[in-house]
Amino acid sequence: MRLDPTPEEASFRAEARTWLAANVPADPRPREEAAGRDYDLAWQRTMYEGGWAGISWPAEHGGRGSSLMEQVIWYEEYVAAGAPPAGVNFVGLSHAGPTLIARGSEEQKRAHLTRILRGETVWCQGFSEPDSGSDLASLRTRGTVDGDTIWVTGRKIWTGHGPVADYQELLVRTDPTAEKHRGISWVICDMHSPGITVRPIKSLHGDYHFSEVTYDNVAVPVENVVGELNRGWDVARSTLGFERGTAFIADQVRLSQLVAELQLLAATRAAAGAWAWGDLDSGGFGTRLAQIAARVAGLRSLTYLHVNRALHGEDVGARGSIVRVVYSELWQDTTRLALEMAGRLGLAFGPDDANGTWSFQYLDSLRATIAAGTKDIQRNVIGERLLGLSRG
Amino acid sequence: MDLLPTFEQKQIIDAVRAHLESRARKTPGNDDFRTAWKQYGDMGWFSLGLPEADGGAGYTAAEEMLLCREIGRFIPAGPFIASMLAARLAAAASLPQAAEIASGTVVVGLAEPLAADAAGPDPVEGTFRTLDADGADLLLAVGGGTTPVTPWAALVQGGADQAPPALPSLDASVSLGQVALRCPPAAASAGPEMLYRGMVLSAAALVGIAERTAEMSAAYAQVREQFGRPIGAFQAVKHRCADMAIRAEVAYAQTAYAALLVSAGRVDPAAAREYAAAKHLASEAAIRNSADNIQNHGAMGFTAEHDAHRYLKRAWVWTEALGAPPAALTLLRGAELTGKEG
Repeated sequence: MRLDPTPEEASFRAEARTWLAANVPADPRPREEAAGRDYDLAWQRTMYEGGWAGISWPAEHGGRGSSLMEQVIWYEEYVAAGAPPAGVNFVGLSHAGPTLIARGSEEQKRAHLTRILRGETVWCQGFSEPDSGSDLASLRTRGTVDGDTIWVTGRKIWTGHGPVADYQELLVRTDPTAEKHRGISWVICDMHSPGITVRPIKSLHGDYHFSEVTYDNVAVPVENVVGELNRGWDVARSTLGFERGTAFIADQVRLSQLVAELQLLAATRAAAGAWAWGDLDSGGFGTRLAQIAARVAGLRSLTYLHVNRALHGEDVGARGSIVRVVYSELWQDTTRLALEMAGRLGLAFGPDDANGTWSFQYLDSLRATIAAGTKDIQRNVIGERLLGLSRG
Repeated sequence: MDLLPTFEQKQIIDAVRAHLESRARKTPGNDDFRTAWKQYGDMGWFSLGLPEADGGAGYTAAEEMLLCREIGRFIPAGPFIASMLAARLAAAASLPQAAEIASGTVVVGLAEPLAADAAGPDPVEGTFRTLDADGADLLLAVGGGTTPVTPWAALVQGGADQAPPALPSLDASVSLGQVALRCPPAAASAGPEMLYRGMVLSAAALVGIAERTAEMSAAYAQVREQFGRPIGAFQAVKHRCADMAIRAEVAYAQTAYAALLVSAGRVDPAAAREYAAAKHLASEAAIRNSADNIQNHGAMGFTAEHDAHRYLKRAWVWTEALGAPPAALTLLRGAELTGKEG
């Protein structure tokens, strides 16, 4: 056990902090999709030029090649400096890129990796379907192989940033006769192909982050298959692994910032006798904030422990679900408490409104226990893979 | 930052575990700790974290934390944490009894304020609740912390010759008493170090309970069959077991981090919040896990014969000792009460 950073870690932190202070964009990200895309790509380009793009990617593929502990430090500094979330770059940097590095052909790597790092292309995900959510392997979007072409017909849903994406990591059923896990292929789909229709979906808090994508005989070259044909399930599993990787650390640090902000707000407003936040003790708010603060501390230590386990060579796969459950439920409990503390003023709504932000954040946090594996699926993973309980 | 035990620390864990395992086999249920106390002392458990110059093993709060976690896994009887803290306090004051506390020939019970009139450390006076003080030679009194009063600790006579009458105890393996003290300390600390270390070590013991009960439940859910299936196959049980594992993992992570801060000698408000977080999370994990463990074992879990109730009862003892919920939550409210970050 060790508390102090190594000299290398300390100097890495100093370097990251200095660079971020000088380069983080001053203006906030525009909410509109196309402008948001431009903003995210420009920031990615800045990081690329500064040598910080692809913090977890190996150096031989153009990444920074940082150690796990350096990645933790990077995301801590990244959020502390107010750097924007990955936005449209998320799938490229955290799913598609790492999958191509792990399973792609040399040709595929050459065609895509550098462009992701430079902020030239936007990737999206095409995994879930209207009838295939938690049971992803039941997916039915067809990919009919005919010579050099796979003809794709079907429907995908919950695709983030779909309208502004250039490429998609797409799962299609290329062998409908095989067992459900054995007939799926992982393909690179050009989102500008004829036959693709993207329909934005309005979320319960008014955002248009998600979309539904329909494919009407879309031609995907066979050379776009990543890994082997019909072996896409294994490729997809490696992608889902990355989804629970270090990039989530940024979200966790952002949550701890939110709680610190809430504590400060509660204290200053209570002192001023202003707003609904008047008496911290009347609703048990002071105690509940303290309990939330303890859980935030626990989440940060849990993240360190998780990284330590990986560095010690332990198989951390299923333990990623622990981090995910702790983070997502803490986020929801925090925004719920904030909304309660805001009282009737909190009935206002809007992401940019001083009072309305709490109801917006509360509603937004509801996605945390659904996306990237519902909280029920996460607990199945923990119960079955970590505790050895029967699948039933 | 590394929160996992080193090779050497794992050896300490293994040695402690092997001893407690064999002792638990030989004396299941309510053993009398006094017969084993010198043995623990001989193995260096009470002086594990003391400098070699003070007769200790020269380890840190991290090793003490790992030791207490094992104690939580096996819940042997006896004032382990009070003895470790007392050995430290006595050594710092160069008390002649320091070596005897460390060797287990002198037994130290724990005394904490029961009423608002309690004060210390010089003199120690007021009404105190005692734990494991029946037959103890000395008392470690620890106070403050629930109010803006700075925590303090003191070693006082108050054992065998004026032993408090034993009261009926929630945990039959921990003797309970109430004593009125009014005496100068044999050794005293007017700072929060002892309380903070005690919070982290009691948190560690609670982590041990949380981990052990999570393991007991998972093992039982694998083999107990109803409706033709292991009960762990049912999502309601599976998810309860998963939640137990989650609580134990978070509590360990925070307690390990807190132990490293104790080792670094940190007593600032930011560190205090980490200690309080460890105590709060570990208490929650231990109480909820040991109650869930009773649930998972069904009616067998409700019997006196099964071990499950012993973990729940001890979880309450260690929760109320050394940084009980009001003290922990007061420390955690530091930032928001003062309006300052950091």
